[in-house]
Amino acid sequence: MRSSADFDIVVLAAVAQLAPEAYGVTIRDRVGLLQGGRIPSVGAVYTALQSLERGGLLRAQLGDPSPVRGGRAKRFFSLSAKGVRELTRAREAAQRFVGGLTPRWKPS
Amino acid sequence: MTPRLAESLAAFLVPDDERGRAVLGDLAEMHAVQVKNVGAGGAARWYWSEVLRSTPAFLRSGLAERGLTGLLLRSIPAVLGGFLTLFVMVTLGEWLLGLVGLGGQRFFSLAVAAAYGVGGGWVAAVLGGQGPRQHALALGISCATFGTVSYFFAPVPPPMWYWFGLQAVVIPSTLLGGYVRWRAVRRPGSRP
Repeated sequence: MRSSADFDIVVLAAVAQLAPEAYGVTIRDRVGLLQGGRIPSVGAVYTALQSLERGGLLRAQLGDPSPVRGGRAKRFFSLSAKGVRELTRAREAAQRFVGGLTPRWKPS
Repeated sequence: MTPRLAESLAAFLVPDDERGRAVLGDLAEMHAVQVKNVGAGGAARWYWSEVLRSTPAFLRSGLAERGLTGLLLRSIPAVLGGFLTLFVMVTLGEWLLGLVGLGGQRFFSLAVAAAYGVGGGWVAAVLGGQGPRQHALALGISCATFGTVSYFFAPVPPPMWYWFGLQAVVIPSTLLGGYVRWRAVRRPGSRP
């Protein structure tokens, strides 16, 4: 089972890939792509973004309101220096994991 | 056009600030794409399902936002304050009904119970600070639960119709009290 910390990392990676166009809708779609087509609920993405922002890993900036959004503005997200460090750490951990796995295990 | 009731539910669950409005905007934008792809009916069903499957996350997020300290020092005392207000109003109300010769008339008690609920909901909303409607709802649910438990444990339970009437009145009336408070303090651009 995927933990909320793992999901937060996926959201962080999605923001890193999408910036400067990372906002709720694009982040949700990208997270779905990164998860192999499993699209998360808006609430799950919102909760992760809130937690990452509170932890200082993301910065948010308000865009302009648009009619298609009912006159509401987008919130654009970008990684803070702490967020970049966290994502780099997660990437290195994943590389170590994969590197350690390869010599003994081959996919059939 | 997004389904109004589903949008109201979503607006109820997210905070009444720029973050909450951005989430509602995201939902509206995705809904517009769904309308193009699957038509208005399918888009409405998609919107409802998205709001319903997001509800646990929105609730978790709201609790995390408030934090344990906020919950213990603000939210729980707010609901208790609303409950105490309701209790005082019910006691005074029964006493006043007794003075005018209507004591023990359950129909009149039920009729004024809605007013008590509005008062209690308003007090819970004021004391709770952030999330006035959520605090009022928490009071309504607490009262309904308390009412159910006390009905089954009362030595002489009231008539069943009276209990059903109270259950039907308590949550909407406390919510109305929270809504009144929310209307008074809401920021421009907020929607119910």
